[in-house]
Amino acid sequence: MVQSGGVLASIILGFNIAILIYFIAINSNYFILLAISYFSVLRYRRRIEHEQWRRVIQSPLTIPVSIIAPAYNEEFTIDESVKSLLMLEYPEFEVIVVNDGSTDNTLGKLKTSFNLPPIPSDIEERVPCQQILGVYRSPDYPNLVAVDKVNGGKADAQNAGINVSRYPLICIIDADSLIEGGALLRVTKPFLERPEKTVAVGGIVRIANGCTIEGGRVVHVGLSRAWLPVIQAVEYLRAFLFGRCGWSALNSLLIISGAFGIFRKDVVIAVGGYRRGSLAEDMELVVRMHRYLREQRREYEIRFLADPVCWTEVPESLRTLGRQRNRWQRGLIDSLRIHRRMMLNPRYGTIGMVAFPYFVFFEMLAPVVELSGYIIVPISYALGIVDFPFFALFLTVAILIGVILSTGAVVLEELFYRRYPKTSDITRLVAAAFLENFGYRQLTVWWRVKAFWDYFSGKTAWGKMERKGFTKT
Amino acid sequence: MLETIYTIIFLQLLILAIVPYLVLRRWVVNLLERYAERRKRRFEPHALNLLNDPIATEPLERRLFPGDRKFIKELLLQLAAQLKGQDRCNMTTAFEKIGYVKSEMSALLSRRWWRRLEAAINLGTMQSQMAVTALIDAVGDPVEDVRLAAVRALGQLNEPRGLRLLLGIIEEGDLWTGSRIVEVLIGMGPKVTPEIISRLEATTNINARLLYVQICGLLQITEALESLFLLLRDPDKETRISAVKALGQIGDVSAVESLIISLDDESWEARAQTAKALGALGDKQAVDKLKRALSDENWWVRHNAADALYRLGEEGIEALHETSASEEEAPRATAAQVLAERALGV
Repeated sequence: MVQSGGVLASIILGFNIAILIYFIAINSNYFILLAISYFSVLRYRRRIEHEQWRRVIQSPLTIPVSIIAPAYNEEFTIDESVKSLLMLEYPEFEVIVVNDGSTDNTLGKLKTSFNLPPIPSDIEERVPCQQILGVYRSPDYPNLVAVDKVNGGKADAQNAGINVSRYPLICIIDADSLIEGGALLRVTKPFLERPEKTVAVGGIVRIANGCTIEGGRVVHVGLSRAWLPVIQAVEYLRAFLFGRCGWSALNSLLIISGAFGIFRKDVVIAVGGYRRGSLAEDMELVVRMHRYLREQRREYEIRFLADPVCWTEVPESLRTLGRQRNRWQRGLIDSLRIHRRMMLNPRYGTIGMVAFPYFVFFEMLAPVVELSGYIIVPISYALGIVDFPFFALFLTVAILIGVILSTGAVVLEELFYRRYPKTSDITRLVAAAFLENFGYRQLTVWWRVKAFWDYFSGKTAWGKMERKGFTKT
Repeated sequence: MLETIYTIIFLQLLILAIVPYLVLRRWVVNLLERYAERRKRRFEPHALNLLNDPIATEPLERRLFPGDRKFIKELLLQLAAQLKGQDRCNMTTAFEKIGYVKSEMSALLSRRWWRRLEAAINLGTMQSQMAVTALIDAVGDPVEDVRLAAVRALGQLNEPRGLRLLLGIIEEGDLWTGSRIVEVLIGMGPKVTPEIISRLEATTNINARLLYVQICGLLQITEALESLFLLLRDPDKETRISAVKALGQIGDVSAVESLIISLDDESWEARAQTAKALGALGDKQAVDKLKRALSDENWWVRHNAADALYRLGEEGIEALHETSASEEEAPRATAAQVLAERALGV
């Protein structure tokens, strides 16, 4: 392999070896997570296969839930989203839509569609938030509350929702998402099973592009005709079905998606609510909860369940997708930087010793290492430090392992959930697992590497998400 | 180098194998599902006939194709879950006659925990007294899900031995298991009353006591009032809160005087729950004290007191109007909010 000497060659060779070791380590981790997820999902499915959800609904012991949906310029999707929330099957819940100073007609649309007059309110500030301008309630929908407030960002709006909420569990969702009918019941089950331990539970986020939506409900599941959402569908399956399932089984879940998560309100208030101005307020809150509960030496569980489903619209243009990925990466860097004290700190148990280092090395730094690989390996080849067969074979193995891992997620989906009814959808998902390696993956790496520059140069903007509203056919 | 090439070949073969596997599996699963539906439809008239003649099981026992026994069992279980009264009893007789009860009892001893779980659930639906002993044994299963399913099944069987066993588990088990047992006992109805009252008075286990109090409230056991009054002065905060809640659920106005005293409890949770209970009891004696509670430092106490005042009718609403015009900010805002919400009917 080595064809030339010298210090530079030794450095480059060393770098190549480091990349190889990193590649082996990251993929070993992925395969371990995939195996853990398989057994964890298998056990969970066997447990709930015979669950009589109707009886759970009728139980007087279910815990009331406040659903909090922050909305900023969501005039195209807000109607469908609120309708879907009001139709949830759950004994006692309230829906709190927080209009975070939208500049479009979000509030107006809410007021018109749901007949929401303003009412006087006595709100206790349990967690900090911007001024609340008004609270609206509907005579037609007794469990719907709309809150209008000064713009302060998503985390601030979520805090406002917490202040207005009345129930002991809070369910945080994105106003542009649709929650499946029985999802709330399923996601609260761990709170009923282990009330003294469970502090947060997340559900799976699936992609609504390509699905048929009627009256705020997904009535037919399908894949988009465009390839970009299909590739993202594979990414989501990978992230949720084997990423989060695996970490949840180890009680080391560092993120519950802001699109659909449920929390014990007293714990969220005890840690001070969402961190205002954060770029990844969902992850930051979960990491802070881990930190707080570990420092308090409390026994607790933060879990992910793969069957309570939330549907969301994903970007169909590269420009919007790039902004979203850039923000996610900046949020990841921010959350890990804020809580860097937990890194390799035995005081925080598996979180400090396993999950946190994993997120630093294999999530946050992964795009940097990958980009370095894209640059150094061809240079090594050009300088004759590695030969062509090695270069080509390494690249092929890397791509094939990526395809296998993504296909593994599709296999989990097919074995346990079968949400895509058409056989052609399965073949398209596998094809997307292959195609994502040629162009899409490199673009993602670039957006995420650029996020480092943006983060350290102080860019805090969220980036605009263009929404067209859920399609009806 | 050669190893890498082998690895590539292996990975390629793996991917090439996965795709047809997924497609073929999907095809087979769809085919089996359609077949199962067809077979169930074939046996449906015979299953419905059992409601009139539970021993007419012969057409169902004359199985023709593989898997029929399983499909018939699923069909009968689906049907049984929707039945009540004599139809339900007839279905139980049919389950026993075809041998499903015996086979599920054997399955309770399976090495696979998920099969034992399924068997316990099925036996609950089948409601055969033949299964009581087997289910009592299953309450000691090493897997929690199986234990709980057995507990629920015993509740569905409404069997006295089951009741004593369930109450024994409340004393020894954790809160989650206990809560599931509470659900079962509530389903059994007022016949559990004497046993619950005697245990409520005798127990020293705080968790068990909380659950007994919960049952008293949910089943509205008026015989438990005296015991609950005593618990309003218990040193344990959770016990006081549960007792207040139960008194509100029972709805007997003789509890009002004791509850008015609890409105001064040192715990805000107990005060908030008391305000709610007073609203549920609907006795106007509580108006003055609830009006004072509108100035409580805790939001929940204020809000529940305002809500209770509204529920007390004219005098309570009058008190809310007076407070909404007062100068004290927090009580004024709470009273105004509740008046506005109730005016909207929410």
